[in-house]
Amino acid sequence: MDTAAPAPGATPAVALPRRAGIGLRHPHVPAFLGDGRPDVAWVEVHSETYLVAGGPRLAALEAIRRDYALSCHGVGLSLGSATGLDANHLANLRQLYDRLRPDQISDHLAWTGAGGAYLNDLLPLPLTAETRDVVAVNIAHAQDALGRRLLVENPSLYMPLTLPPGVEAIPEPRFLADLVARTGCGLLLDVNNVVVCAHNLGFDAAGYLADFPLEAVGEIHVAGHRREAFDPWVGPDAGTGGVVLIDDHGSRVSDTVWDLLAGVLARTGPLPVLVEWDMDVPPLEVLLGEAAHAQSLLDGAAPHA
Amino acid sequence: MLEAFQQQMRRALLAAGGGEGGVGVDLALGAVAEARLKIYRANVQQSLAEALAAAFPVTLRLMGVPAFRSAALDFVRAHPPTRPQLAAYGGDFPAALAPLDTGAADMARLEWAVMEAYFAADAPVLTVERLAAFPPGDYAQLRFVPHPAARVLWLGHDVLPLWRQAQEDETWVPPAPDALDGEVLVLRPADGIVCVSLPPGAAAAIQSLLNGDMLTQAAEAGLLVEPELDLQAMLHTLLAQGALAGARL
Repeated sequence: MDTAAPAPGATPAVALPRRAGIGLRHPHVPAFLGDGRPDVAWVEVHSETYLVAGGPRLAALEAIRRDYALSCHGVGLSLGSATGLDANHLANLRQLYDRLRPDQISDHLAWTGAGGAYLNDLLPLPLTAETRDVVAVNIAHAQDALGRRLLVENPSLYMPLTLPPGVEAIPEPRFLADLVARTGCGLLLDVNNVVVCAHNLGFDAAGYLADFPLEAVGEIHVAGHRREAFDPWVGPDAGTGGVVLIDDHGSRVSDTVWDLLAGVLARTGPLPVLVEWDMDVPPLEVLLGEAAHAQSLLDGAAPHA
Repeated sequence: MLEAFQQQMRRALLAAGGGEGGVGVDLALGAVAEARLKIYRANVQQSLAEALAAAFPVTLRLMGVPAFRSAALDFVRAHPPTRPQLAAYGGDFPAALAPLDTGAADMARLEWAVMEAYFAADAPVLTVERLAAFPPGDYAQLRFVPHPAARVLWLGHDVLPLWRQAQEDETWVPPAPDALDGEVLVLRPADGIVCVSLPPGAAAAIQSLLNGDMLTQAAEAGLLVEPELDLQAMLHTLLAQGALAGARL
């Protein structure tokens, strides 16, 4: 199957405000519907959370969307599925996106199901030429069916995959750059995921970011992660000094992630930066405080031509 | 290679226990990969069990965490979601609970009906004024369009009072429900979910109406169960609570 080539010399559009945003979570919805509108430039929701026929949850988001720029972040496209995308899911997403008219949509370089089962996790892919072909076709299919350009996010990973002899592994930044070239998609750079993967799989986060195709980035994520010194299912993990980083989005953004973000913004100029917090969701003020810190880094980044 | 990998992973991630025994993944070689595979397995199974806990919070309190967790993990492994919409996951869980605990299964049926009603499509509500526009002589032939949120439940345990108290007090642990037949109408009027305990015969009549039968047929169905059924009061309840979206002859 052919995949769409980008227009020559096209610069990927950044559709969201080049400011800090937050993930909109259920406990904070009433604050966004009240009188004192929280001071944040944009919000992001998980698309699949709003794949419902009607009712108060969807009505609240529609009301909030009237006042805020909106990003719809998918967790269920399963862009890495060897057997292709789910046509029903694409149709449901299209209906939702046509209703909400988000400024940006995105999903992950991952797979989430196989054999008719949805596994509710962003699962790892062997980064091979075969997988690149599969993902490129799936991205082109998704962009076509959804009628919108997709940003593809670098995932967090826990498990090293060993490829069979003779099968070459493609480094992730190159893999993503190839997807951009083949499909015209953009990228969502999750800096926390880079830190989590670098630790868990043993590579250098700064080196990864040096290779990352930043010109294709339309959005950045930052979030907190958890250090698991003793994995209750596993026992001490000798491979990484006994510590696994779990991408749980359940705490403040680490200094390592903030520092790397500042380095990226120094190269790109201001971009939309989202603070994600999904587990143990804190009071809105805490989340807005994290967003304010991201904004201070954005303010310090010189605009690029 | 990719498809085989994903099939192997799916089996490994949905395996019971520690996942040992015949569920290897060719690309997950060595001690670190095997250990990390368990992180994914735990993420998958626990997050899906948590989705069930979120959909059935009163059932969880009724059963207690260990019993619910065990039933939820068994269900997750045997019946993982078939699409990436967790709000639609768990419709078969009440039936899976029935062999373990019939009272908890009835509570779960009520909670699932509430969940379905909460996410049902929006629709206009049939008002008394619009109904009054039909000639009174034609009422017997009226058919109604149900509101998408409206559903009738036939339950074998008296779970509705326990569910109501559990909404008031989020830490209250309900006792085992009494084995007592009862019918409940679940609705979503403008201000949220409403559960109405129905008098004898009303469930049969309302289900007939929701199926699109004529009012006279619905009345027959209800009166067959309870000759004293007050049809006017029933219709008043349906209109007042927004159970109907339209009417036609």
